[in-house]
Order: sequence, then C-alpha cells, then structure tokens
Amino acid sequence: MTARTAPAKPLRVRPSGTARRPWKYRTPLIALADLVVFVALWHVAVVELELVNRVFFPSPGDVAGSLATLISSGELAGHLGTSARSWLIGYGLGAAAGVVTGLATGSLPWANRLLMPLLWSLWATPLIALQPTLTAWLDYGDGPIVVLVFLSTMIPVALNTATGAAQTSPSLIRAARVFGAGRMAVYLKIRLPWAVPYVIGGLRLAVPTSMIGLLVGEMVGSPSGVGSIIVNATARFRTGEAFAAIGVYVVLSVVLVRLLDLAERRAGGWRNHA
Amino acid sequence: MATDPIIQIRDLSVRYHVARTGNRLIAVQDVDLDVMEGEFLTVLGPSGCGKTTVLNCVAGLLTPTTGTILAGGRPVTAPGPDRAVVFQDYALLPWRTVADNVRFGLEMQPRLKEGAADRIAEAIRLVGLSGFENSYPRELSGGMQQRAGLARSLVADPRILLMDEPLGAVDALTREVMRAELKRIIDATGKTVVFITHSIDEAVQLGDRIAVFSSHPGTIKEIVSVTPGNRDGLRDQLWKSLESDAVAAARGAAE
Amino acid sequence: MRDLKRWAVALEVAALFALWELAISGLKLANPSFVPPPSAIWTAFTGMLADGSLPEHAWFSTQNAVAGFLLAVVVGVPCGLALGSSRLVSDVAGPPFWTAYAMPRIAFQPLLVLWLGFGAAPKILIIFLMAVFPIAINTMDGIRGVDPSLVRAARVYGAGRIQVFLKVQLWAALPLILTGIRMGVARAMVGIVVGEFIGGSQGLGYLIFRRSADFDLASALALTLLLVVIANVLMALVSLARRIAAPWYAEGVS
Ligand SMILES: Nc1ncnc2c1ncn2[C@@H]1O[C@H](COP(=O)(O)OP(=O)(O)OP(=O)(O)O)[C@@H](O)[C@H]1O
Ligand SMILES: [Mg+2]
Repeated sequence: MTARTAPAKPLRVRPSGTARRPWKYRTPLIALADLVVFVALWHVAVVELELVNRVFFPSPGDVAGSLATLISSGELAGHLGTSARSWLIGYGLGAAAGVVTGLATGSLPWANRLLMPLLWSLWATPLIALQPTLTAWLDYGDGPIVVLVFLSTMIPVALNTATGAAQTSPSLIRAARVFGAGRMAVYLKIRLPWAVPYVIGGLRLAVPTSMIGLLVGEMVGSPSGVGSIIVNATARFRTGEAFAAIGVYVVLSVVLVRLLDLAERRAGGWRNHA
Repeated sequence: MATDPIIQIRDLSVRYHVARTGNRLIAVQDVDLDVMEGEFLTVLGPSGCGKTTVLNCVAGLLTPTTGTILAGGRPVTAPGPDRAVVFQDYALLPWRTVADNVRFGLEMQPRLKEGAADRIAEAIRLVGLSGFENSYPRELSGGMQQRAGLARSLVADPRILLMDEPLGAVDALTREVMRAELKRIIDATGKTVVFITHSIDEAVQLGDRIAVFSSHPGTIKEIVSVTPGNRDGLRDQLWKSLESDAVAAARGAAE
Repeated sequence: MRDLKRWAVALEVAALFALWELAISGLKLANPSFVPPPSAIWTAFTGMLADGSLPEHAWFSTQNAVAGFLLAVVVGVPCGLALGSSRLVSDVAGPPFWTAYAMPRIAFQPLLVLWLGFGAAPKILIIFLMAVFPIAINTMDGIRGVDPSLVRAARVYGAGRIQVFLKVQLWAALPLILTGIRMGVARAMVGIVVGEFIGGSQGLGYLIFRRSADFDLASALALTLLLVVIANVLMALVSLARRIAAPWYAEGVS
C-alpha cells in the first residue's frame, strides 16, 4: 500500500466545505435515547393504556421489582452460580478441545479431509436435539447441560481454528523452515499466532450457541440455574420474574460478545493492514 | 475548432474531512487547468498529491470545497454523459459478462437505446475483446479487464475520457502493449483525455501536454508541452522535477 | 477429485457406524438399550415410519418451519437492506437490533407459550426469531461491503440512487444474502427443536423428547440423526442455490 493516510475502512467522504464534524457521542446517545423511549413506551402500553393483561405481560416496574426480590432473597445468586459453573466448565473445556481439534484438522491434510466435513455437518445441525438423550444417559442435573455447552462451544471454535490454521500463509511456513524452525516451532511460532484471531472469532461465535445449549439444558431438564427460573416463574404466572431472569441472560450475552469483539479487534489488528 | 477549452478548472481546492481522526486534510489547493478539445493531457505527480481528487471533481463524483469546473462550458455538478471514467481497479460489475458490463455504460441513457447492440459490439471490437463478450470479469486477465473498462467508457461516445492510472494494476509487459493500444484507440476516436499516471515514460509517450503536480499542498507545479523532438530531454527534466517530491513521499511512507 | 472426496466422507461415516455397531453388538461394551447400536436405531426408524408416527410429526414440524422461515426471509432481507444502506436507520434501529441479536432468544420460549398457547403459533414465532437475525445481518454486511469503486462507476455512467441500489448494491450483496439464508436454515432448525421441547405436543422435537422420556433411546437417536440429515440436505440446497444464483461469486470459506 502507498503512504497515504489510507483508511482501513471505506470512509464517508465529505469535502469539508459543507461538512460538520460527526459528533463523537452520537451513537451512544441514540442508543440511550432508544432505551428510554423503549422503556417509556412499554410502561405506557402496559400500565397506562392497559393494552395487555399485566399478569401475562409485566410492566418495566414489575420487572425491576421482581429483579430486586430475586437479588435480595439470594435466589438469583444461587441460580446464577449454578449456571455460571455449568457454562464455565462446558465453555472452557469446549474451547480447549476446539482449539486442539481445529489446529490438528487445519494443519494435517488427512485430518482435514476426514474431520472438516463432519465438523461442518455438525455445525449445521441442532445439537440441542441431543438434550433428551443426554438426560437419559447422564440423569437430570448439570451433566447434560455441561455436555451441551461443551458441544456447542467446541464445534464453532474447532471450525474457525481449522480454517485459520489451514489458511496459514505457505510462504511464512517456508520462511520459518528456512530459518531453522522444526515441526513444533512451526506450530508455535507460525500456525498458532496466525490462527489466534480465528480462534477468538470462534469463541465469539460460540457465545450465542453455548448460551442456547445452556438455556435449553436448564429450561428443559433442570431444577436449578437461571433458565429454570424462567420456566418455573412462567408456570406460576410470575412473568415479572421470568423477564428479570431473561434480562440477566441478555446482559450476560451482550457483555460476553462485547468482550470477545474487543479481543478480536486487538488480536486481529494485523489482519486489517494486509 | 472550439476556441474555449473543453475543461476549465479555476481555483480548485478540496479539503477532506477524515472521519476516523476528525482532522481536516487539504488535498488540493488552488488548481487552475485548461484542457483543449481533442487534447491528451497526462497528469504526473507523487503519490497522494491529489491527482485522483482533481479527476473525481471533474467527473462530478466529488464536490469541490471552493472553485469551479466547467466541462463543455457548463459547470460540473454531477456525473454526466459527456465525461466517462476509466478506473485503476477496473470497477467492472463481477456479476455481468463483458458485453453486459459494456452495456452498463449506455443503460442509464435512454437516448441511446436504439442501436445499443451495435454500439456495444463496436466498442468491444475497438478494444480488441471480440470473442470474450460472454466472459465474466474474473475469467479475464488484468489487461483484458481494463480493455473491458475502456470499452464501457467509450460505448456512449463521451467527449471526455478521464483515466486514473488505468494501467497501474497490470503487469509491466501488458502495460507496454496496452500503452500502444490505448494510443491507437484514442487516436481513432479523437477524444479529449485526462490521463493520470505515475510513470514518466507513459506521460511522455502518450501526452500532448503534461501537468506536473506537487504535494503539500497538492497543486500544479508546471505544465509542459510534448513535441516529437523534446521527449528525451523532457524525461530528464521531469525526473529532476519529481525526484525530490518522490523521495519526500517515500520517506513519508516509511514513517 | 471432488467426487473422490465425497466418497471418502461417505466411507468414513460408514466406518464410524460400523465401529459403533461392533462396539455395542459385537463387543458388548455398553448396554444396547442404553446406547443403542445403529441396527437398533434403523429398526426404530423404520418402525416409526411404518406406524405413521414419524410422518405425522414430521409434517407438523415442516409446516411450522416453512412458515417461520419464509417469514424470516421476508422480514430479514428488507431489514438488512435498510440497516445497511441508511445511516439513520442503523443509528436508530441498530442498538435494539444488536441487543436482540446478542440475546438468547430461546429464553422467551416459555413466555411465548404462555402468550400464544400450545399450538403452532409460538413454534412458528421462535423459528422466525432464530432465523431472522443471521439473514438480516448478512444482508446488512453485504450492502455495506459493496466495493465503493463500483458505486462510483455506476454514478459516472449516470445511475441515480435507486439505480445504484438496484443495479449494483443488491447484486453485490446477493451472495452474502444467500449466505445469511443458509445460516438462517441452521438457526431455524434449533428453533424447531426448542419450540417443540417446551410446550409442545407434536413435531419431531416433541417426539424425541417423548421417546427418550420413555427410555426408547433408539427412537430418540434415530430422530436426532434424521435432523442431522435434514439440516445438511437443506444447507446443501441453499449452497446450490447460491452457486446457481451467483455463479460469479468465488466461494470463500463460510
Ligand atoms: N476519502 C478520503 N478521505 C480523506 N482523505 C482522502 C480521501 N481520499 C484522498 N484523501 C487524501 O487526499 C490526498 C490526495 O489523495 P488522492 O487520492 O487525490 O492522491 P493521488 O495523487 O491520486 O495519489 P495516488 O497517486 O497515490 O493515487 C491524500 O493525502 C489522501 O490521503
Ligand atoms: Mg490516485
């Protein structure tokens, strides 16, 4: 590339005679305004206009109240602890297994030929369909949940890592060989760093899928965990509580995706300058 | 013969607003330039001196911050059928075949509906792509893609051709061949051409006149005429004139 | 070469099943009613076909899937187009859109059942909710990723805003739109299963649930494998559609 202040992304070009500096806080402020308008409309629709039956559809105040109760009674903390443990174990093990499988699949031609199609086809399938069978095998409780989270994390991570490892620039590998790198060194110094942004991309993809695994496990066959709050509260028409529990999930997912987005941008920085 | 220049640029300045950093950047300042009907004007200058910016203003793709541009006596406010552009990256629509890409040059002009097929065939023949009408761009070499881009620009018979480093992305050998081809095609059509290049050779070989740009701020440093006798002398003169700028630009690149 | 690869995969899958059969039926490594071998799974499959339970439940799932998925395409593509081409729309509608995208939408399934009952409606809705986001997001990315140089070229040759949209942006985005639709298929499958797990009384997902609750694991696994096959066939069909509709698009890895 030339020395111009070449923008990495296409810029919006406005010759500056007419242009005003786009305001730095525009986007977050609009988002905040969105939130305020949304909550206000929700409140008016439920409380003032009574468009829906409040037993079935809580108002923002009801949700906040339920959330406060869930927190103060310690109920939320307990369930959240259970959920977090299942998720962390499943996601952690799944990520590790995914990276190892992915590196092997991406760099060994025979593994690539054998495993890649299987990984793709597993990625296409609803793994949560295994939930009832897993429950039959492992009994009710955390077992099937951890396995579901594990599977739904491992597949995207393995796929992405394999893609990254397989696309490692051959000339870089050749260069490493020239400078005396052995098999192991090629893995550690070339393939792994090359694949890191892909791994992170896979980890990010795995956040929603693993959350789905966790939720299905908790909603369908578990007495504890945040997902079970949703099911039990709904069954007792305590919709405020269900909403509060969903809200907890929303916040968790958004935060996790954001974190991994950030990590991806950090680790993938060099990729954008090609 | 028209006595007025077909393109008149007066006091042209363009400032960019770089959204990412929030800074303003003076890309072009106080450019005055006349191009005569039927003339082949080459534009030479270091990287980033604003050549593309000026060309985009003439094409009507960019509104100048200050200054005016007249094309055929009328102020330029938007792209028009009198001006066609050949892009460095070809800008061919990947989902259209060569013939359909060339047709794109006519499509938006209802007055040319009649005889479109003949025009397209003629343009394709002129650039030497006969037989590749049904190929997709990705099936062509860089040189052939640029021929298709050239055919697209010629098909509506514009008075002015604006070319932004049209041979910048093809390999050296193809470049030599295409240069001669270009000369032949332009001579055959008698168009007015503004041709940006980085190559002194190209500028001297193709141009009737050469506008030399300098950077910081981007403006025209000198305009020289090419005559059959002074080509070799011009090369040295241009090289000297550009050397310091080029070195500075390369240094800037290293920073 | 491609054919050879395909055969290799088929052979591999066959080998896996053979090993599985051998481990259970031959070596008796596990209780066959607990971990049924492929032969038992096949018997269960044909049994469900013969007694009509499989066709009936599959028909229910298919109807919902088609309805929910079509809805997702009809809503998702225009939304993606709007988000991708207008700054205002993406600023105002973007934050709620991204929040809805990031959150696990299946968490609403119990509430959907409460609101809409035990019939088809909540199932269709969850399928829609699962599929619509990948479709909209890929469409948006497709529109945003259009090479600006193509847009410039179109303007040079006289295209107005609408023509630029119809002749350049839409076409350039088409491969990604189809990629989004393919991802939507995968997500829709999840929606089918979740919708029938929670508050269902019909459909393939429900049948899986029922049979494993009865410890008829051969049937449950037969149905699960059937879902694997269906998902892969559908994905392959969309890929084929993409190859036909966008032949100029050299397929990357996705
Ligand atoms: N869209 C834009 N936004 C901000 N700055 C820009 C933009 N386009 C160009 N510039 C800046 O304006 C100056 C002139 O750019 P321009 O592309 O006109 O140069 P050029 O002479 O065509 O360079 P090159 O020979 O490398 O093509 C450069 O410093 C460039 O960084
Ligand atoms: Mg340029």
